Amino acid sequence: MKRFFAFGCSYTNYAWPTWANLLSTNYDEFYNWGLAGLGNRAIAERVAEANVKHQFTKDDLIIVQWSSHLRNDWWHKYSCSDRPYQWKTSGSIFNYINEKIYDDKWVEMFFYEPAYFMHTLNHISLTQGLLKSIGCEWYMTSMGDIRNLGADLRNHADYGELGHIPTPGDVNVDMLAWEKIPELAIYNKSIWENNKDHWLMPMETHAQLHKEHTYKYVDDVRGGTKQFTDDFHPTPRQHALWIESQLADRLNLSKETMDFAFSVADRVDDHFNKFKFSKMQFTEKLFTSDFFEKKYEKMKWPTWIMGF
Amino acid sequence: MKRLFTFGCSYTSYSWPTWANLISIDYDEFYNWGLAGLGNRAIAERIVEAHQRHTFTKDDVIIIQWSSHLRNDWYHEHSLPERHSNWKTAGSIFNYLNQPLYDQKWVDTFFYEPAYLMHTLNNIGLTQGFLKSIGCEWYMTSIGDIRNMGDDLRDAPGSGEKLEYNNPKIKTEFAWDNIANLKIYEEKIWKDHAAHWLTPLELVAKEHLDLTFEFDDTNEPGHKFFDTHPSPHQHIIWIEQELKDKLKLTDTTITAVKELADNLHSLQKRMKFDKIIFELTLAKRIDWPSSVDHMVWPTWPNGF
Repeated sequence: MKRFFAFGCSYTNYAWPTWANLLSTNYDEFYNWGLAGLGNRAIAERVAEANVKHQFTKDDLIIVQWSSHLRNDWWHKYSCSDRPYQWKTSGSIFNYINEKIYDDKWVEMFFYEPAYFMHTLNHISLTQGLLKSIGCEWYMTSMGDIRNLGADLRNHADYGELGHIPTPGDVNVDMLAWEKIPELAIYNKSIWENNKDHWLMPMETHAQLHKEHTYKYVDDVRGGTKQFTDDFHPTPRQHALWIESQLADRLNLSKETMDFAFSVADRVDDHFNKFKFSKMQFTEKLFTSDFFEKKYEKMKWPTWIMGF
Repeated sequence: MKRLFTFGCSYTSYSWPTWANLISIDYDEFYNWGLAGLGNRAIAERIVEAHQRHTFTKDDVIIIQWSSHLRNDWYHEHSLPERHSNWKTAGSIFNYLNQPLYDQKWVDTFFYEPAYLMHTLNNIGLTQGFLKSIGCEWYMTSIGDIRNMGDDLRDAPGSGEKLEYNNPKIKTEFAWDNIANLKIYEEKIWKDHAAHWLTPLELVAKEHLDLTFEFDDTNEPGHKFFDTHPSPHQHIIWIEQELKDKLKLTDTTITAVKELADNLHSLQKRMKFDKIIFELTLAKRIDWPSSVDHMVWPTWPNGF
């Protein structure tokens, strides 16, 4: 029996099926531990939590998608009760949602970007160690290349995912972090070079090769604007293309699996083309039980939020 | 060549030689990554950092002393310059040092004790996996038993290491009684790794209270205070009980560190009128026996 565990943020568990859901058809059991807005410390902690709950074995497939170093992870049962999860992170410290939580005093006292980047590196390394100790099949990916400090993401000012270190001229500098914070370059060998076979192309980097598939819709979930805006989360088609490029060979995925992934992309694209004037209507329908007909039932989506 | 790496808080790197310094004389190389005030996330992160710098191998001995779940670790190069380390933690969120930093709004928003214990458990779980992947010889200990959530620590006024779940009657595995959904960590962290866990330092020190260092309180004449950090002899009792056999420490080593401890305790008795003067005198290593000449102490803080 083959189990598949996916970890990450909204690039892994989102308003439409992601790479994780599309891949789930290939496995007897699927657990999507992705949670929107998470930072890398929470992602690492949730790998540890899942190991305790599911007792990982060498027969498992585990894929971890890292997010951004600019997120402050915290867990609380009561505070910020308007946030649906108990991991309260909600994306970058500097996004529009978190503006009220992190005032200037907090940022000056607790935020130091090189340190936040170091925390990300330490948690990736801890997670690699845990996965190696299990002996399972494991891979890692990320939104952009973590070493580019957010400079390779399609920037959306509200998302606050571009830190303070990169400047506009740094957009195309590869491995920007080692140039800007050279003392942290000591991590490159053990995290990336020694684990080359385990790293997959960052999802955003890949999506940028297929920009034409990016969804642009009226985001009435946030209210106000009637303007069409890009949603930079990879679309089902971009996810399917990423799977084809990065995982099909590694996981020996069948033609049937890939055909299925693209058929989900077709289905969601059709729906998107009818409802792009309203994100709310577009996404709400996706969650209804009758949206995906019987032929899609082997895909596990939507999934319950896993973990504490 | 045998290397020893130690990690922890002030129970590992302190104003006098700790268990880490004392056993170091049995090793060719010794790196004390202990740093006073650290919480468990910082301890885990520093293990990874040390690996980047020293590339751990299966021949290394790595011993980790976990601290308290009530500490909020953060690293900053510029804020709070009066704190010497860039890891700014400085003990419990609720100690006297951190009171001005963590106001009620901060505590209400960010602090939830069961979550802080969960973070500690996750960091321990990640670290155990990390060490297993190296294949080195490794052990773990802690101040009190982490599962007692500070309940088994001696009261140190102002230290803030006991909190909401404080219970005057110490119970084993207190955490699982109060936060039942975290009990799932017990098997993976403790039972599966029973051979790697050492008795918590404070529990051994408490059995030898007479060896605890007591000082006059220079801020309040006429008052005295205990420093609950294990004294050198308390550290040695713990070493003999927990590590001597596991690490095959020689009798020569134990005799040497006992001789040193005798000198340190004697010095402390003479200087109990002022802890700071005692510490400054100690740092000069006056009258240290030649058998511990090669002991590395005091050590510079390692790492970023």
